[in-house]
Amino acid sequence: MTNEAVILTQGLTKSYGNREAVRALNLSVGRNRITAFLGRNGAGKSTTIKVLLGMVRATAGGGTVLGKQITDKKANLDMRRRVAYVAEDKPLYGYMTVEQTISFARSFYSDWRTNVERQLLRDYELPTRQKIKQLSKGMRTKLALLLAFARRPELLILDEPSDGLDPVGIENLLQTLVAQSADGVTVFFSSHQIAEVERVADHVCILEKGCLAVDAPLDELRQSYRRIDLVFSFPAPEREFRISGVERIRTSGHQMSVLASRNAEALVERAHRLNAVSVEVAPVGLREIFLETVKEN
Amino acid sequence: MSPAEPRLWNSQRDRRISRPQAALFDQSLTASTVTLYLYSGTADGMFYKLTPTTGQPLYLQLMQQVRHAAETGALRDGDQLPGIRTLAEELVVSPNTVAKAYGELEHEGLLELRQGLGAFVCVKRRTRSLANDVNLARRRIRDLIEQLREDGLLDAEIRRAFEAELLYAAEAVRKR
Repeated sequence: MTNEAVILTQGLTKSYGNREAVRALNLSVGRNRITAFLGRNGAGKSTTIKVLLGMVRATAGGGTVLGKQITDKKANLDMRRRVAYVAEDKPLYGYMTVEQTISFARSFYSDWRTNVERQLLRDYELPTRQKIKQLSKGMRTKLALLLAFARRPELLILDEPSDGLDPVGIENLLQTLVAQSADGVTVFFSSHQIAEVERVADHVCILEKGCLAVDAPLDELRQSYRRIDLVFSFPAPEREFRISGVERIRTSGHQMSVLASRNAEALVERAHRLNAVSVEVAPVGLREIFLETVKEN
Repeated sequence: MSPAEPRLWNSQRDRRISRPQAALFDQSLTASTVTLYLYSGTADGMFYKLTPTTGQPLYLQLMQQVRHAAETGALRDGDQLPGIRTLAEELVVSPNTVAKAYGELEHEGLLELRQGLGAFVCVKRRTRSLANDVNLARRRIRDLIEQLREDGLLDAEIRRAFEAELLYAAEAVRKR
């Protein structure tokens, strides 16, 4: 049950003219997990999300969300009832007040929870009578989040949910994500806040130029990624360390720094065999993994 | 699975926790350490500290801290741990992390998970004596550090050496 995929795509491709925004993507998002979707600006995250929700038509390939074909119009409607989505640009009607926006949204959803709505309204300190166009960016984000969190969806898809939020706002958001997850909601969110992702995510997907560059449980990344710093009494034998799992080697004279996505033990053994003067193994944080991943090409 | 009344906000409203406001900002600055002072009715003053960047899964860190608390006597037989949801919200980590830690600790026999009631500590007598071992170990480490300082090593160098050895040892053990 927990291994069941709520989002599943095969060869999903989206082109704009001759530019491929998403390239043959095979994405699988597990149920009852918090999955973070990372990538640089323009890597294709928002496009992927819009294709999944049927808002943008795929050029090739396909997939399912909650078991419904994303290209099937009728199935798509049914799926959208069970998915709450917060868009990247947080689209809201500028002429409406906060109050009007909430009651407008409430009328669409049968899974709306008025008690949660009231609680969030207080927690977020939203000015109910103010017009949307007068709200700050952070307030708009909070309102958009409220509209999604007040529902009880099976799947929560958030595109940049921390956009414009201050540290306290981000902390509140993360706590809400955790609470939603504890309620059995699957969470799929894109973010640039790597330090936050590192705390709450179960699984991490890194999109780079429309392709999945990393797709792994965060615990697996934590356990397998290592930086190994070596010093030799002779020029560093870089070639000896080009084994599988080595992502990057930097050499400077007698010193060498190896970034490994796995096989760290084998590398350490090799270093000892080659009489390295100093062998230091350090864990690698998600920030560094991200930077190394997107730097590669 | 889904309670009728979702308690989304208990962490903000009814938590009996003094969480220094400064800690919030520390977190966003250093962004690597999650420190919380956790009080629950039975496990008073439990202190969990999960560090996302240490290269060790968070559930393992949590397991070790519960184990350590039991070994040192901070947690006693029959003490109740916070529920999965409560602890996940306090630590701001995925509920799966807490669930996995609790599950593994139950497997080890250190926790008893009672359906709908929560997690309870079961400390066997043998575990208690580990408190002495830990004290002894600390004394030996103190002596070793003293000696290394006399040899002229800086604290930063000593720390790095310790960390490298621990990490290497952990990896070697896991491989076996």
